[in-house]
Amino acid sequence: MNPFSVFLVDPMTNILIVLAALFGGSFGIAIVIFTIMIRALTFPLTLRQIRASRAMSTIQPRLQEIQKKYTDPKRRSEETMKLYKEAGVNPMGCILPMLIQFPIWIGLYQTVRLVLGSTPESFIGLSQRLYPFSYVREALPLENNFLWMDLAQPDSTFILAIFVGASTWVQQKMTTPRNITDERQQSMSNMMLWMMPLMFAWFTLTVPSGLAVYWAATNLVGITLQYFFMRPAGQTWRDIFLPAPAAARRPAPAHQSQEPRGEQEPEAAGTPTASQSRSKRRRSRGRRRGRR
Amino acid sequence: MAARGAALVVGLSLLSLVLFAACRQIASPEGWAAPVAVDGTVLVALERGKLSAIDLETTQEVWRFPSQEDKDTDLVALYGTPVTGDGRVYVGAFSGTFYALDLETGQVLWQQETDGAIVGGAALAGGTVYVGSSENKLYAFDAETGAARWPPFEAGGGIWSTPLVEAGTVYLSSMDKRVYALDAATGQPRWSQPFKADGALPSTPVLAGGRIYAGGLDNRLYALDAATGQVEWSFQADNWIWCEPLVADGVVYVGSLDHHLYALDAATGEPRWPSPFRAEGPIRARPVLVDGVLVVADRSGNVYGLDPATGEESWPSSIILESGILANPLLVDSDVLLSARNGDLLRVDPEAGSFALVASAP
Repeated sequence: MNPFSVFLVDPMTNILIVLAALFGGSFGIAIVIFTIMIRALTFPLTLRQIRASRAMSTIQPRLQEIQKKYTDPKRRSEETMKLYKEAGVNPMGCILPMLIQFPIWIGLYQTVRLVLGSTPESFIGLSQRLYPFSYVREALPLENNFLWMDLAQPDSTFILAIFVGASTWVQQKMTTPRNITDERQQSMSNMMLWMMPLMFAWFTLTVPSGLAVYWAATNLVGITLQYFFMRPAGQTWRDIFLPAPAAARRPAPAHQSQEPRGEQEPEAAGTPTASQSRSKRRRSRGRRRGRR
Repeated sequence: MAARGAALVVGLSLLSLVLFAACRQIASPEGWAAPVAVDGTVLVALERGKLSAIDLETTQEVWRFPSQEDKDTDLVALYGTPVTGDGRVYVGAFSGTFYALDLETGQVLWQQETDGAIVGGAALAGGTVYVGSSENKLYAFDAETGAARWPPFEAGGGIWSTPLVEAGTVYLSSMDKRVYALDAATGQPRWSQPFKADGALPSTPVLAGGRIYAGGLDNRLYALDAATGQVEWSFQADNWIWCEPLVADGVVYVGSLDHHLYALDAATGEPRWPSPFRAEGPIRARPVLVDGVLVVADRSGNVYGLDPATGEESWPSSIILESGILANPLLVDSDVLLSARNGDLLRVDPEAGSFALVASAP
């Protein structure tokens, strides 16, 4: 018995099938709704991860200073920890929410793969994961045709590939810091910005479109959440699509703050009070925007 | 920093490769075409998407379709059991193409494109060959020329089963949860309305004693009046019934994906054994009855010899194969031929409960 399957993939599989049954047996609609549900459920974790990562990026210049200043690993470690404490930053804050979300994403991905049942063998495998409720068992097979696609086949029209590629790019662009000062870091970031969308666009052309619908849905939900709840204050769609300002691309002095544009506040960056008050303001802005 | 960047790129590339490999697995149908014997030759899919003719005496391959030289033909996979007649082999491919081959040489005599993947086998009767596609259509082709006998009959769902032709009627189970009875000559419905089950019907129907037996994804085996399509009885298992039933001596033997083999009274559906036989894995392959031994194989690669009267094991121990069995077995000279998922063709001696490898994938 595989606990990952029993506690994650199997429940997700059965829920996905019930959803499809509720929506006229359409697997495509079920994928979209299920993706939204899972992303909404894991949203608090995503939010925590983004906030922690922002806080980390705020103290980056001071961290670099410590790296340069102290050659003794012990002293360097002590100073780093001291800085974390001063700034109220928990380095695990970025990793832990991601670690919790990661199995959920893998589970969702496996669920879509399973329920897709693009071959008779996979269908037989699916039978071993279904709960003994007639509503679930009798719902299969699901309707594989969604919009113009056969979800069990790759989409040959390029429409989905372009959509997946473009949405991956937008999401990547939204999560990439705009004020990277290090040139090597900047070029790596640029490479990732283009490599990931191209890679996913290529995958879309070669895998069953049901999976690509999942990627498209998860990207769209990610972009929406990112824009309404997690973007730096003052950032607009225009800022996302336009290249970063030239000033931000110039190498900056090590002591200069690397806080994202629009987030630069008059308070001294990195102090616990400043960080907390900024966080409160960001939350209140997010809520106001969300209600509009 | 450069090293960290390179590590990130390598890591992402590896992750992408794993992801891509995982995705590719989805679209890899294997096939479970059952072997067919004719004049000392057995037709079997040893290799994915290829049909081989094996001389049973020498175990040498006589021909293979598509041949090694033929790089243009891709069958993808073979699920439907081939059918033979008048020196021809008829076989439908998962690619959606239906072929008539020369039995002696394996050369294509004619071929017809269908609208979807072919999962079920073909049925041959009265000079017409019938085959269903997963795009809901049943085709009737002239066995000699491949010309359509009548416009394709359209069901409400995919057809994954092999049509059953008997006394001028084609019986057809479909994934739209229905069983149809059609006039074999015209394709017109024979029953006032098709029988409707609660679940999709992927299993090939069987006719015996005036009843049609068909299993479904609602975990049920249905017994229908062949003349009217009215349900006479139904039996509920704990998982889907995808297995083609075997009817012998007034008993219906049917496996389920719940790992059980059931023995039911053909007239009433009442269980004949005190308890069903429990296998290690799900049972999709039809059981066979030979010399008083009921041979059944499961998806986990276990082969059992059972007493058909009690359901108790006849062999001292079951056979454990390297690979699972999903294809129906074939009876040849009191031996049972099994085609395993890894391409092995095995001969099982039902009396001794032993097995030998006949041929394997090249």
